Amino acid sequence: MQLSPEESLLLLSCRIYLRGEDEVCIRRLANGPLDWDYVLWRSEIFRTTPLLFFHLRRLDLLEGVPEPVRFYLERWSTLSEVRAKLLYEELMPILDSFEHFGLDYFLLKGCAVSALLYPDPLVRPILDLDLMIDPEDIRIALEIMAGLGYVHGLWHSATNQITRVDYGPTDMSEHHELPVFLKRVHTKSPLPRQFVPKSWCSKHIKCFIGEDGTVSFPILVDLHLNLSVGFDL
Amino acid sequence: MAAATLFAYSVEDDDGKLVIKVGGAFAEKALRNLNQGLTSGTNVPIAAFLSPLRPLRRLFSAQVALQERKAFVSESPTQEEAEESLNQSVDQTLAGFKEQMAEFRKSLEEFGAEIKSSAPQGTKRPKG
Repeated sequence: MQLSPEESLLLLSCRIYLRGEDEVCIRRLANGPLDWDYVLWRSEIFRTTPLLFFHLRRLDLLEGVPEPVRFYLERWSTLSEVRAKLLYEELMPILDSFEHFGLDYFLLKGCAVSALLYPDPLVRPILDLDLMIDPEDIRIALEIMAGLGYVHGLWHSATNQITRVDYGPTDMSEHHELPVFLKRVHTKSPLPRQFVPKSWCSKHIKCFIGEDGTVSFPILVDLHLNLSVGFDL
Repeated sequence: MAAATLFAYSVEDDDGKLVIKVGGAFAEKALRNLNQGLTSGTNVPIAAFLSPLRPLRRLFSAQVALQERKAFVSESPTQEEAEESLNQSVDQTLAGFKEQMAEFRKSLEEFGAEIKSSAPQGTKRPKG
């Protein structure tokens, strides 16, 4: 099977560590004719846009990238980076509280992979925080999350509002995670509102940029209880 | 598994006087708030005093309640709302993306100087 130059570039740039021959290929591909819209489209779907930007910048290839594409890559990465930074800032009080109350836990998925394996953890887009806890600690975990300002609910990208959801008394033995915990955090927006496509706010990065120059992010936390539920053979 | 006391209290009879003892992290926080308020002479709203303890009502239930009060609840979210809020997959078509890119290019042309001067400074890092 022969991959297109666009698919080749996407595949090569989706990893954080590259071999020497991979870098040679990226240089050749980035300097050749490319359908950059296609590359951006696919990288956005796979959320590898910041990785692509990371490698193009690291290999001094951005000068050869069409200006709109370069700005698109840069802005996507910047906003995603701010989100990741805030997520990690929110992770710390959760871990502090878990340790204070003696809860056993370990990190899962994005926040574990990027924190442990990436030279720069902020390069990897993160939409939520995933932690595994002991099912026996559910009640304490609920208290901790409530104390830290989290609720169960849904975030609306158009309004930046949160609809609280009441799940009622629930038997968690058949669930592999608690309903998602949610809170909003905000900071000064690195980008003007008019330069941020709506799909970034609603889907790709999940944020709300206000007219006052702040950007809000919904912080989503998944507390997992059991890896096997739903995966039993 | 390490255990931690969040809130505990006991009531004892001391020669006809009831003595209430409290313990645990939340109780200590509540008492600290109360003492600070009393020491400074400010009013101590009882609701604020009790606020760290409110969620503990749920602990007295045999089942796990995932939301504290019905009063907070708005209408039930639709399936679409839930998916929009929680779904992480993206299904944008290439045609849809090209429209988005065209708008992005247009904003670059309209605000060219402004957008270039607003280039974020925090993205530059040592080459890794």
